[in-house]
Amino acid sequence: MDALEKYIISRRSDWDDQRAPDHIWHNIEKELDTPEQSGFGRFKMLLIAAGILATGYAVYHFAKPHTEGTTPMEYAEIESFEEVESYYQSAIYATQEAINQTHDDQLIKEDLRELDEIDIQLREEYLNARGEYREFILQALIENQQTKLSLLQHILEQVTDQKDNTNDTIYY
Amino acid sequence: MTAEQLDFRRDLIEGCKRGERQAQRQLYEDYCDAMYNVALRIVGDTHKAEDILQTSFLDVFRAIDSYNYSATPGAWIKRIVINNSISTVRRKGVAMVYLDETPDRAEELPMNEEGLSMTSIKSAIAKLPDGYRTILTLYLIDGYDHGEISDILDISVATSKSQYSRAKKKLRSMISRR
Repeated sequence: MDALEKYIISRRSDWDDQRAPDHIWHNIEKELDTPEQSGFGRFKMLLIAAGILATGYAVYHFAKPHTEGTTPMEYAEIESFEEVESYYQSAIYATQEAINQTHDDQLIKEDLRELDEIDIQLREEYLNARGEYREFILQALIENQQTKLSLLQHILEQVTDQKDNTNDTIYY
Repeated sequence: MTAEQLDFRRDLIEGCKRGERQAQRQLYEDYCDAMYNVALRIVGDTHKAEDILQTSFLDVFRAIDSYNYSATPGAWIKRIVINNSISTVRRKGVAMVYLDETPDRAEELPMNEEGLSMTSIKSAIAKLPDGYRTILTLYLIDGYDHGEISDILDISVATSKSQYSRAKKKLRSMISRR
C-alpha cells in the first residue's frame, strides 16, 4: 500500500461530509403511503400474462408497418421508460439478494434466465423498430420486468412462509 | 458495534418489519447522510444521488422482511445503494471498465502525505471517468476488497485489480498536474 492509498484510507471520514437534503424523507413517506402496483399475485397468472404479452407482441410485430425516424415523443417515452426500468431493476435486485441469502434453486434460476432472454430479444428488436412499434416494445420490456419482480416476490413469500413454519426463531 | 447498539438496531429493524413509520424514519435518519455520500461518490451528481437515496430506501423498506441479520443493516443498505448507483451510471451507456484507456502518465510518481490535500484528491477523483471513480471509491473509501468489488460490478477479481491499478495511476497523474 503506497502513501496515497494510506492517506485516503486514513481520511475516510472526510468523505462523508455531505448531508442528504431534507425533502427526500417526505418523498419516501409519500411513496410508502401509496400501495404498490401489483397486477399479479400468483405464478400461474404471471405465465398467463406472459403468454398474452408474447401473443400480442407477435401480432403487433407482423401487422404493424414500420415508419422511419425518432420523434420528440419517443425520446420522452424512452426517458420515462428509463425511470420505470430503474425502479424495477432496483426492486428486482433487492428481492433477489433477499432470496439468495437463504435459497438456491436451479429451476428458479432457469425461469429467470428465460425472462432475461426475452428481455434481450426485445431490446434487440427495439433497435430495429420505429414509431409506435417502439413504444409497444418499451411497454413489453416493462411488463417483462414486472413479471420478473412478481415471480421473485412470490418465491420470497414462499421461502419466508417455509422458514416461519420450520423455525420461528430464524429472524430473532 | 456493541451488543447494546446491535439490540437497538434489531428493535429498529423489527419495527420496520411491522411497518412502523417511526422506526422507518429513524432507520432512514441513521443512515441517510452516509448513503447519500456513497451514491454521490459513484454518480458524481447531486440530483441523481438524491434519486438514488429515495429509490434505495423504498427498496429497503419493501424488502425489509427478507433482511435476516446475516450482515449489519448498514452493510445491507449500502449494497442496495451501491447497486442502484451503478445501475444509474450504466444507464448513461458508459462502460464501467476502461480496458483500452491508458493513463496519461503511467509511471509511479513519488507521493508523500505532506504533498497531498483532501481537497485536491477529492477534486481529482470527481473528474475521473465513471468506471475508474467507482472502483477507486469502492476500494479505498467504502472498504470493499477486490472479491467483493468483482461481485458488485460483475467482473473478475483480476479485472477489478487491474482496473483499480489503472484508476490509481490516472488519479496520481491528475494530482501531479495540479
